[in-house]
Amino acid sequence: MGDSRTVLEVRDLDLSFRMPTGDVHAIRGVDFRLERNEVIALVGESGCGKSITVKSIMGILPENAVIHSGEVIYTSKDGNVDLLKQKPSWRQKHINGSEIAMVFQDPMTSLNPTMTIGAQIILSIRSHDKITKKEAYARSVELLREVGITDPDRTMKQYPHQLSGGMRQRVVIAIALSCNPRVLICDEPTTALDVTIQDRILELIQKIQRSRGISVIFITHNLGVVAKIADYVGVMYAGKIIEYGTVFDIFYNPRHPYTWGLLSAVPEVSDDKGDLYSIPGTPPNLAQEIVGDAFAPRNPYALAVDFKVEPPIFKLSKTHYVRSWLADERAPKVEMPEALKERIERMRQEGISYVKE
Amino acid sequence: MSKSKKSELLRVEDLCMYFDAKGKRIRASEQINFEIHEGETFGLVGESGSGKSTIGKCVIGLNTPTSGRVTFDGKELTGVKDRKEFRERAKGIQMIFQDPMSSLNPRKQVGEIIREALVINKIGANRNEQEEIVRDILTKVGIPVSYSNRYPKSFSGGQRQRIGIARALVVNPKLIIADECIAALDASVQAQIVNMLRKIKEDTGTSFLFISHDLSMVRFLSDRIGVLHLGYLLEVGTSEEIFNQPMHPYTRGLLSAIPRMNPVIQTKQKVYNYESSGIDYSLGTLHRLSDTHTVHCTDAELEKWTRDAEKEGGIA
Repeated sequence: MGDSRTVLEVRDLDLSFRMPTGDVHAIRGVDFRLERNEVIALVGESGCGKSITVKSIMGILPENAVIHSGEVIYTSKDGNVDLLKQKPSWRQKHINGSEIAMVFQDPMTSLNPTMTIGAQIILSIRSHDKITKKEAYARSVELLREVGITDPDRTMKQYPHQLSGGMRQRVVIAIALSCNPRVLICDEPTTALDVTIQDRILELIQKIQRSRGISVIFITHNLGVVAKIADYVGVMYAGKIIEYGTVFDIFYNPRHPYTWGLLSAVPEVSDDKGDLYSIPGTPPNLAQEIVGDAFAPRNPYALAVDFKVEPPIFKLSKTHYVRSWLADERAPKVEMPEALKERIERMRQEGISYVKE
Repeated sequence: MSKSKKSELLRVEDLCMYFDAKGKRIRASEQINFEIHEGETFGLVGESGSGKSTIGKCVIGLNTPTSGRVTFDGKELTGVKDRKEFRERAKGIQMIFQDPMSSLNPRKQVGEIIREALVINKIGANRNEQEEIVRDILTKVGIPVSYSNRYPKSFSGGQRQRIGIARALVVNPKLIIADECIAALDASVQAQIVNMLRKIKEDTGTSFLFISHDLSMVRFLSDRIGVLHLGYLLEVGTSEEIFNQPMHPYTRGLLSAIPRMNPVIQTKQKVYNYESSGIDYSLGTLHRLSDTHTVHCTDAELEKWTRDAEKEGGIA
């Protein structure tokens, strides 16, 4: 607490959606801290609450969302503010875009099809900075160049439909960067793209993050992408972060059975053709009260206590946290599945020989 | 290492598909050649716009190819003007689409949707017998039989895709064209569907034309893979050949771009740019590297790439 490196902190966020059929408890207590110059990835199956978490940071939740408790503390030059307590108009003016910016999955829906790229970037710059059109134009060209567009003057005159998917996503990133935000939130920015383009966009985000020294929250369900881009990983399940740690903690020493399942389900490039692992069952219905560990019904390693009492957070190391009774000292010793263990060992070896090269 | 030469089921020869739009000719497919044997899965990969779906549509008759021949089970499908005749010849082909919601009639119960396929194909003597077949197929794809009177909207994405697969499967096709059929699903559900498709393949011996941009899934399902770019089929080989000894620079670029599940390894994409690579696809011809491995290029290119590959092989 009071750490000067902290940029954004989400504390005990808890919210539900009002539905005609009853409340859906989508976020059931999310905590994490984003520090300066750091990339956090949030991973999990669809419906686990990744997107809702960042939407509440941005203040763009749907109208039927009800926040029960929690704080989103943003640390700016002028001190700390709880974003959840601010009016939308205040956020719009002081936070969204200028301090925290967001890139969405589908660039076609976040760009205006009737405006040229240039007009959209200039509009975004001028809505926060009072500068002349000429200056804004020059800065737009500079931004497009920064995101790797080779002929920015031409792109400025084009409409979104004239660009390819990868180009459009670059433009969206340029707009997000236009007001020098300190935090960039990326919600599945590469999911709709081909692997080759995905790789280039990831490299671009990485380059910008390093050169500008900004912090990034990256949402994805692709663990390969996580391995490439993240410093820290939060694994989400049923509205909670159930394991949190550095990429190395999560990939080399995963401790939650759900994380084991997620890692096992990724097809290996160098694989003989056994069956692909898939986590049995489906995520719980959040419209119903959840007793105990939400993952217990799908968890082959579940203990009796998992069905009765919600596990607390166990601290495994300075960086590594897990929400599972298996980490309790009274729990029987349960090892990860043999196949995953072997696979992680292979990853380690591969990593060692890679570093040597 | 193909397991005992099986008979050829589908042959695509010199297939070209051009679209004329506003005076511009769009060359979606150029000189495509490949064949699928009985019980085999052929994977087509490539980025969006490479012409993957066009080929699938040409095979099933949704597109009429500009030139070339498609032969299925010994009968030619191209050039058949009579719809009835075409349907008769293409009877053994079924298709699974990307978006299961838009391919299922929202006003019909899923049991009826599947039974409709039986009615159209005149399978089963009466309603009772058909309903029996529907129950069997639902069990096979993992949908509880009691759900057969529900509507598509009450199923999850993965379940809907299972229903789409059931509908394709129920008429005992010889070939199933699966066009990006897992792209819209969550990773863990993808694994379930892929495992199911593999099991179906083993149990029924159905052949698949599996179209996807997801290389790791294509590898997982396919016996042989074809790599498409800008309408050209650049490289064809067994999964092992494509993944372990890729020859074409485009294939290599594509493979190097797959994110690795290892935080230590930072992938270095071999960036491939067609414009600056100096490769002109239209000059290339078919070169055979092995029984199963072919590359589309010129003689000089092949020589250069072979040398490059040897050099790299020495380092790794």
